[in-house]
Order: sequence, then C-alpha cells, then structure tokens
Amino acid sequence: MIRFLQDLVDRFRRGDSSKPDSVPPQEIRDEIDELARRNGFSAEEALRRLEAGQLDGTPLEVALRMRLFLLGEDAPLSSALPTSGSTPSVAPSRRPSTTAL
Amino acid sequence: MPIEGRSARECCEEFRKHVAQIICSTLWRDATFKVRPGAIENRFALVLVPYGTSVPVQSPLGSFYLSVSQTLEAEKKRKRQYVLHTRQYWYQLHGPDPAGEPLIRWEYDKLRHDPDTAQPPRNHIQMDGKLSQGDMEPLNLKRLHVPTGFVLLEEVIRFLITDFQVQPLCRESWPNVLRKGEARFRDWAPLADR
Repeated sequence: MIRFLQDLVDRFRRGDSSKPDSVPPQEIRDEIDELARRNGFSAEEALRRLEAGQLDGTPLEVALRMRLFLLGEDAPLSSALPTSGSTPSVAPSRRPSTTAL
Repeated sequence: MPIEGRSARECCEEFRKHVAQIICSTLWRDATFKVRPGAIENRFALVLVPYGTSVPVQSPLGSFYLSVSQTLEAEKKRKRQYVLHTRQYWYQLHGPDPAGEPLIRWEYDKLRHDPDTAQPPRNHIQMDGKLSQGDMEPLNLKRLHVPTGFVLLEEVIRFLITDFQVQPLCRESWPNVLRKGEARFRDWAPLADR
C-alpha cells in the first residue's frame, strides 16, 4: 500500500498522472507531417529520403526513426503518412531547431 | 537482473531516472528527460525536453551540444511483470549549432539489423571527417558505419571529460559516478542481451 501511494505521489510530481501509456497513431503521423514540412518536404518525400539513406546524420533522421518506432516497427511507410485534414501537433522547440523531436 | 517493473512505464521511469542522474551529475544540472509513449503498447522514447533540446557542453575546445535519444520497449513477461529493452540509441555530438549535422554520432538500431541482408553493423560510429593515406580515394567517415560495441552514455561522457577536457559538475567524483552508472547498466543488461 505504501508503494502504491508513493507511485501516485511520484506520478503527480512528474505531472503525468493522467497520461496514458499509448498515444493515438494519428498524433505521431501528424508530427511526422510537421517535421517533414519544417524541413521543406512532404511527409511522403521525407520518408522516401529516409529509406534511401539521404537523411543519414541529420537530426530529421533521428526524429523520424523514433516516430516510426513509436508507430510500430513493421508499420509500412504508407501507414506513417498523415491522413488529410490532420492537425500538426508538435511541441515548440526551445532552440531554433528544424527537427525538434 | 534486467530492469523489471509492474508496468511498462514503471520500467521506463527507472531507466529515465538513471539517465537523468548521470547527465545531471556530470554535464548539465537542468537536463530534463521524459518518457514519451508510442502508439504501440509498451513502446516508449526517452527524450530530452523541451523537445529538440541538446545538452550544452562547454570545453576549452569550444561550445558543443550532445543530443541523447533512445527508444525503449518493455516486454511483458507475465501479468504485472515487464522487462525493459533498449531498441535504439542515438548519441550525437554537435558543434556550436545543435540543429546542424553532428560531428560524431554513436548509433544502435536493433530493429534494423537483419543478419540475412547486407546491412551495416547495428552498433556503429560515424563522424564528420575523411581518412586518407597515400594516393587512395579519401574515405568519408560520415558515410562509413565503423563498428563499435554497445556504447554506454557513460562512455560518451568519459570521452568528453578526458578528450574534450570538459569540467564535470561532480568534479573529482566523476570516475566514481560513471563507474557506478556503468555497473548498474551492466547489471540490468548483460552483454548477451544487447
């Protein structure tokens, strides 16, 4: 019981007491769309370049690979693409980075 | 004994605390890490927040930034018992522009490693530079995947302290801080599991 209460206190202090342990896939797809757009690509083009190795070593590569992992390792690229009408939902970066995760 | 917990998030939080403690003790007191959930159950990313933040590294050689990102997956063993695995890591050392191309990057991608196809080593280092001897065509180190072992964050910090002469926040206790961190990780993840 003490551990349970301590967990609750810890979660409250972290400010994530209401956070779920998964997010809607659309949220991640929207982020891919936003990241690509900030770098001057469509999401499709960014993912194509990623697969072709043309983004190697760029911060965009890490940001995209991480999101593909969060979407599911076997997710085909087409499933990572945003659907029309989606709303970008990327948090603002503290630094002027073009590829904030 | 790997990191185990009653929930996937509990495992990730233990690891987050470990990484945050290492960075905050040595390089940047204000570093804040977050465990960000994925769309797939039990998958998480460990990132510095605000998103896109890198660790500022002051050295007599100049100003640098270290970006640290990992993906984690908690494997469900049985009800209320999960075991944590690192699936990918990216440690990137940038020059004065944290958004620019990294000078050195240590990478690990367990997911992309398929031993049946021609793929570069899953643990590798890449860097900005060229190698050349005699009249050979220069080798572009940015394109080569020079193999490494599983690189711990502590090793990267040790490299910054010894080779970049970075002054660690914990001063003379830094070898002990890093050694303890490495011992904890090796206890969690024996070599065979990496």
